[in-house]
Amino acid sequence: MTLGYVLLQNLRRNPLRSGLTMVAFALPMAVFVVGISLVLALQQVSKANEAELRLAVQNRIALVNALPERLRREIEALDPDKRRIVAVCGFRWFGGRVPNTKSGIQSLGADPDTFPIVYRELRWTDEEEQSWKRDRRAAVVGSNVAAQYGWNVGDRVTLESTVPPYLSLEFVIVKITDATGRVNGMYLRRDYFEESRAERGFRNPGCNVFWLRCTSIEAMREMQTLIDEHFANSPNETRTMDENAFAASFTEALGNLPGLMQGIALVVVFIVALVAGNTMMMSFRERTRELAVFKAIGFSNRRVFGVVLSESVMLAVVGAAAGILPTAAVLGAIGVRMVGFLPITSLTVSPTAIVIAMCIALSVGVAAGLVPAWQAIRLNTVSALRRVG
Amino acid sequence: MTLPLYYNWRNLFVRKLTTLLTVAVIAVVVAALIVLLSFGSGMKRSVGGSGHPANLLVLNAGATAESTSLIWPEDARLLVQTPGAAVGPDGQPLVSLEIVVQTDVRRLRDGSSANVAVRGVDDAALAVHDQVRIHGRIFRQGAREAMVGRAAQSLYRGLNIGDRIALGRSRSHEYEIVGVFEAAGSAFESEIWAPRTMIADSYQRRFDSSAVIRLLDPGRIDEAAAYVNGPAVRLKAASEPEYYSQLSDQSQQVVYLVLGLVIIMAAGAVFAVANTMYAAVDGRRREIAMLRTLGFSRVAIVAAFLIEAAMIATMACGLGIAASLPFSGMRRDFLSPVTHSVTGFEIVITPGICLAALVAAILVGIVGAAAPAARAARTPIVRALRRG
Repeated sequence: MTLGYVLLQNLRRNPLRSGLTMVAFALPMAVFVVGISLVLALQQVSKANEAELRLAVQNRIALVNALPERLRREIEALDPDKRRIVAVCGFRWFGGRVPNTKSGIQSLGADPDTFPIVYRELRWTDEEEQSWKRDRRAAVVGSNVAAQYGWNVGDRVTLESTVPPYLSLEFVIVKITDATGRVNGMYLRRDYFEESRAERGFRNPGCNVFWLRCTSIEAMREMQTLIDEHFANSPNETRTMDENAFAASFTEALGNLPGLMQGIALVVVFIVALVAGNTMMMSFRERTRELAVFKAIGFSNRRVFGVVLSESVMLAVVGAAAGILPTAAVLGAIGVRMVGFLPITSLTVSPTAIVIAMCIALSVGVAAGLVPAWQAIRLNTVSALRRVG
Repeated sequence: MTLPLYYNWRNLFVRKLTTLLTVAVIAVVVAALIVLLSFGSGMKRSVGGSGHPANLLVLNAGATAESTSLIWPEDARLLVQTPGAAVGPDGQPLVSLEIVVQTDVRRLRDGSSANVAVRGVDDAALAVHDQVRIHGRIFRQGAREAMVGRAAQSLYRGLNIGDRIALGRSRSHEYEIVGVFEAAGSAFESEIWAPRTMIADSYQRRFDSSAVIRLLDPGRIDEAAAYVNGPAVRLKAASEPEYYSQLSDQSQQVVYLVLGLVIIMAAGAVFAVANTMYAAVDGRRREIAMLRTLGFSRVAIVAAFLIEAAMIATMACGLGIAASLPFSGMRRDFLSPVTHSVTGFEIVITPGICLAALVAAILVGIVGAAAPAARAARTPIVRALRRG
């Protein structure tokens, strides 16, 4: 009689209970794996951002207060021999939306000359870079936005700006990007934007944020203090931060989603631990006599311990798998597109999240089986056999 | 004939540990639900509840929020002719022109920076936003004085009466805080208010952001809106509550997402309850058969198990409420992706939310116990009695 056989028989002895436990396990674990996937995806975006060695320079008082565009020259002049800064690119918020729709697109005007350098990770082909530099109406669109509105490279699209002077401009899409963290954005040329603003009487070219690409992490830290010191006590005081600090000020908008998800994950672990513990207690109580018989016919303590513990582990792991794998498959198949301020392409379950979830299930299974397994060892064979049950 | 409740109560303690674990499962779900609901309703109340139904909020036709709206003076002048506008004590129509800008403050909690809205207003604002109650005094027009909303005062540093705050495009102008105001828990409480002319000067603004028109009759708001939206003015008008509920919708998406996850967990809890109740039924076959022999009906048996589940659920709900209470009264703020400024809100665990949680818990208990109770009712009496 192998351990596997005993296990299988035990699970089949009360199929209803095994089934219920597995479902009670599967549903919260499905929630867990989705939550953890979201957190991991956000972490992945911040890792990718870190590698790009970028700094954001914004108005110290508020992002909406644009800084004059001449600050770009001043920033560049802080590092005349270009040892620390690769390039500086100014961005102005366009806040566009497709006419007659409610939701806006995160759209920004970017300095055409340095944009392809500062956002090198968009993997520009020569052709794309040339069309971006050639056509004033050029726009680079994130893959999520393109998919949402059915846009393709070469399309002409019209966007209305929701900030003064509420321009309505036509753009030509020259590139669609799926680079990490850029999928929900849209970039247009700031020179085109500023000229159109000037035509409407807004002759104050400026940027909400200047992005710098630096040569090294040390250069980044140096520039960060250098820039803020340089503009201190001037009419344009700045706040310089790295890309993740900048992004964090936006994820706030979502009421700290990573924190919420971690809280939910913790709650799930708690629930499944209680469920598993409950089941193992019930099934141990019913089988006290049977375990006593095992011991009476010569099963070693180790074997008995193993039988009880592995049943618990198996229930937990199978239950978790029953929740996780269908969730991963379904989300992978329908591909819930994430639009809005989260820089994530779609809500999918990552392999790392599956591994973490299975490890959690495994440890919950062990923890829940430990007490009954311990009791099984200490079981007084004679009195347990004698008990009527 | 029904079984006494005392019977159900005693039965819960026969399997203490199992009962306890089941209670804990539901309690955890209940606590998560309560915290989430109070979080969501706090957010919603702080923004969605703002505005008076007789107030018409006017923005530039292309703008989505006050912070990105500009109203040209020649357009603003046309607003006094809005049909149905109420008239103030000075005989002028109640139109409040407002400038909405922002400044950076530090959170009391961790010193991190937050963007609060600064609203430049005239005296008309107090007539239009008549829910505003001032402690201390109102700023004098023409003086660099400000008053802060109660939520802003409790969340951010240096916003008490007597403090000085640097405002303006390059923060070069100091304003003295002379008052703190309440506004019935609305989004205004997260703002700083100062004289419009002073704010226009400090922020080098020539134009206003928005106008709020108080109407005599909230029922005729469509007529007034039609005038503002129409060819004569070409601005965009919406009732104030409508504007704010739209803003709050945008902040609720996360709450809905997490709510979905909590509901899935609650479904998991249903199965946990079913598991426990099946075990209870199986362990009490003889007892059930005996009760049936004594003359208790199947209905009484079903009711007994449902009541037991409801008792478990109620206990769990109590525990869940207790576990979520430390969150009550917590003050947080969130950044609106539309206005780019923060709104403070308070997490309040209201009786309504507790009631909703109780209903959810009992539902989980009853649904989970339904199948086991039905099985109990079908217990074959003779066979169950005979079994050793």
